[in-house]
Amino acid sequence: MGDEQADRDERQDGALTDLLVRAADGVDAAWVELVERYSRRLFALARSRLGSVDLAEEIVQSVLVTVATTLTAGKYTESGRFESWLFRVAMNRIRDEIRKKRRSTVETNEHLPDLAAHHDEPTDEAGLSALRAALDELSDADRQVIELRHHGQLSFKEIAAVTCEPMGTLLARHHRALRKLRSIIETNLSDQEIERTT
Amino acid sequence: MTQDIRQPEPDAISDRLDQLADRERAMPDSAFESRVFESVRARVLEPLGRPVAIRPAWWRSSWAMAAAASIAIVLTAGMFMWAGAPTQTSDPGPSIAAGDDVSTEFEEFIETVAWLEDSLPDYSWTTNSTDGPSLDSIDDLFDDVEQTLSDEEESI
Repeated sequence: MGDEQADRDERQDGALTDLLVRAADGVDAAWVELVERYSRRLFALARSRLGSVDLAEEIVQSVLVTVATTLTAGKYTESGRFESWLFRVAMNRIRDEIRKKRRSTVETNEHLPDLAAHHDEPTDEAGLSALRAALDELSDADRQVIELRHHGQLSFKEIAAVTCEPMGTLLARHHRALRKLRSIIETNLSDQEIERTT
Repeated sequence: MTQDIRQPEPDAISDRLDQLADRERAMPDSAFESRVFESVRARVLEPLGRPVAIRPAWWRSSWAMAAAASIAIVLTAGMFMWAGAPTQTSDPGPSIAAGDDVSTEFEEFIETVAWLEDSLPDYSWTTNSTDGPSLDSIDDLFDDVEQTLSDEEESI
């Protein structure tokens, strides 16, 4: 099983390398494929963290433009670690956006809606809403590992490459973050129950 | 995901997170990818002016290559014809005749040189001390040869 997985990974890596070579040559078809592979994963990551659909799309465009500029200029040096690099670029861009918003909040001294809590589309499923709200209460580090894992669909190995942290630490953090989420959701539900009864 | 490493975790929360993430990924409309790609193309690929798949380079078209090859052949043939043509194209007859005269005189000149060469006595066995006086006639012979060559050259 392990060998099969390794072979599959190797084939995927080879295909990705070919794709990146064509993308670096500026071939449209290669960029169409890269966009199809990654844009929605990047979008989900940005949307979950920033809450805004428009901002998330803007970030996806910005990240892929950065990637295209680097690749076509021959400055891509992360051979074999493309996904980690791509998501690191995305995380940096998302952090920049969060900092910008925080500065804006301080300068205007106005209360902006919580970036993480603001969502464009209310979901009709209470469970998912509760989960979104619970995500907002996680620490940045916990939230990052959850979002890279579930929204970005990265393996723990890739998350380790993105965050430059040991995989064991990330596995433990992910497990702890899931427990925290469950705890937060249960607490919120019981609070709501109390409010309803009073 | 290239590697699926999962440890025991609150499965329900994990499944709900996956469900939530699926929703986030499905959120953009169907034109989302096109917009992202257009952004990349407009901001990076087009300014580079690199060859793209939709508009392949002209030399990748067999029709363009055939046309270019035909033009090259015609131009090459034209150049050869132009280089080989006489300078006075208006009246080629006299030029050809003049060309024939020159070649005839040149052949005569070559024959004369060959005759002079055959007429020279063989002095290879002589020495300056013993046969010096007999070499006086060579001066006359060389004078004749020089005069003959000069005449032939002038006639050419």
